[in-house]
Amino acid sequence: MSGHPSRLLQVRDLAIAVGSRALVEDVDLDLAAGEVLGLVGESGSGKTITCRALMRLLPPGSGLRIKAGAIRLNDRDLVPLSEPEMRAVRGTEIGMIFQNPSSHLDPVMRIGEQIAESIRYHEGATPADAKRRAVDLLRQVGIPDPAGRVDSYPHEFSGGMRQRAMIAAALACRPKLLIADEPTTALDVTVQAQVLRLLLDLRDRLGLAIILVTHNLGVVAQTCDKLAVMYAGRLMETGPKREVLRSPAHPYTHALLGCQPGLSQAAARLPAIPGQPPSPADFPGGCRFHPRCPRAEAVCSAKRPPLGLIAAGRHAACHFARPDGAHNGVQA
Amino acid sequence: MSDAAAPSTLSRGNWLRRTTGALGLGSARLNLRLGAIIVLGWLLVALLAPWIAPYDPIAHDLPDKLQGPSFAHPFGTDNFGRDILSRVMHGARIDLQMGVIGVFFPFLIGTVIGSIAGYAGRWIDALLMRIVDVVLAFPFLVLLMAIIAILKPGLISFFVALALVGWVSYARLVRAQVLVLKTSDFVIAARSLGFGHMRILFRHILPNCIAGSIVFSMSDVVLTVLAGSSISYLGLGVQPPTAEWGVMIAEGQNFLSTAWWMATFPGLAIVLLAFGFSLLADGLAERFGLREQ
Repeated sequence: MSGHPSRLLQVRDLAIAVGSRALVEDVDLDLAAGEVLGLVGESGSGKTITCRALMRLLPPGSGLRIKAGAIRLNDRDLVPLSEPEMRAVRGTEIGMIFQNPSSHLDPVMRIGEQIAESIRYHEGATPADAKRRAVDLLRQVGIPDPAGRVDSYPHEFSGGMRQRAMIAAALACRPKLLIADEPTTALDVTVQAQVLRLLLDLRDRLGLAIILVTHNLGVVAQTCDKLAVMYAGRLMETGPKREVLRSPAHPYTHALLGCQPGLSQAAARLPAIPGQPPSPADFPGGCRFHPRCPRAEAVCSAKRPPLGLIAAGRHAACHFARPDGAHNGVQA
Repeated sequence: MSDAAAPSTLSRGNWLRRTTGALGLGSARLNLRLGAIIVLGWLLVALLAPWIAPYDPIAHDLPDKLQGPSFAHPFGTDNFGRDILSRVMHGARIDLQMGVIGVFFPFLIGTVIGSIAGYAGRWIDALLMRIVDVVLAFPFLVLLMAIIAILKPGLISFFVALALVGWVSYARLVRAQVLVLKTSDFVIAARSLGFGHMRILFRHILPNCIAGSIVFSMSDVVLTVLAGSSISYLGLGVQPPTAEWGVMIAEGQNFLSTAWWMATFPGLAIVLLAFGFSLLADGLAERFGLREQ
């Protein structure tokens, strides 16, 4: 993909390391306004720290740092920005919502204040103005009786309402990009659907671009425009959702799809990918998926496959990537 | 209160709980109320002392000296004929003041230093905590007395000395909680909204960890009043003839065998005030969910 000026977010060669050990490398992501990108992968594949790196919010004290790469938001690289400059970006240009809304809201602060706080902080609004906008935001995210709920504390809200409140807080200063780190994982299924619908609705109304981190391909199928599949800290495959799901080019994506209960053929037993994902301490050489890959050959352990263009808008990091999804030895 | 839910194991704690439960104590709400009533009662006595005290607390009345409790002098009189009841009432003004002011400044200083140490970490934390260690290495009262002796005996010196010594407990308490909370999810969320460190520390972290310090400060009031009384008893605090409970006990000590009331009533006053603050601390701890009921 070439650097298109209309792109909202452009991540190039992002590498995150602790000490000299790279946990995430060569991540390229592109996102335009109004697009929803699904970032998919197993636990430990690096999805969450990639998102935290986009915000420049790698956990302090963990030793994690951005080793290389560029994060261009509206053509401005965020990586060299100072901490105060970055603070002005957070909340106003990029918003973030998290997996567990219960623990990500301040338990001793009223919901309305938490939403109003960032409006006052970033835009210098008066308390009355900020509160009015907080009520309006609560209405936008579908909280019933927002004027009555604005003075509630988080513990008085249900899980789904807390997630809505967190979305309201994240969007208070109208960021153009929302990073949603497994926003529905902690919610029950009906509420999940409501929250996803809300996100799509906000995308349509506000032209919001969303990075949706998930390990649930069902969620991806319902919501995303594009898909990026991560494994062991590297991108395995990226492309438009429909095509990737219909004909995965990478054996890992293929295997991942096979593991989804809803998407696999009615099998008596749910298939699983044999083996365990590698730990960052001993990532295998060559392609990191090769020890578990049914398609692996000698070249896979010797040479690392680049994330190559395989069809219009589709990239895959596999020596045997095929855009039609046919993998010898996988299906036959 | 724990009734049916109480497990059947007959540990000492359970026995204690059932006994206090039968007395109606041990219930968070009751503790809180009783403590508040006692403390408010003392506060009223202190505020109204000049009007409700039956006698002048420092006026000598030698013909009436060393009288036992009677209708005219419910708590008796001391060796100068001063009315003990009036002196206890006026003493409440000094002792409450000692307790409250003596805790306020350590609370403030300790909270600020502890939160900065916990949040900043690294060398700032190491430096501040070594200072805490140094202060803690000395016995509390001895250090207090040394500082007061260097300054000059009196109430102001007592407050200054307390501020210099007492903050360490709060600093440790707050630091420990800030250390835990600074990596908590809602702090990450606050950072993702672009808030600066000061706002995160003082608007988000501190309100979440202040409950423990407030509870501790209630029991600290008790310790401070006792320390103040001890200091006055040793002649380094409030000076005679001012009515202060510790001073009164010191004076009454010489007459314990002949006029027991001189030391006993101010002693009871200290006990009652301490009891009130302890109940308050207990009730608040349970109210804030710091302790399981």
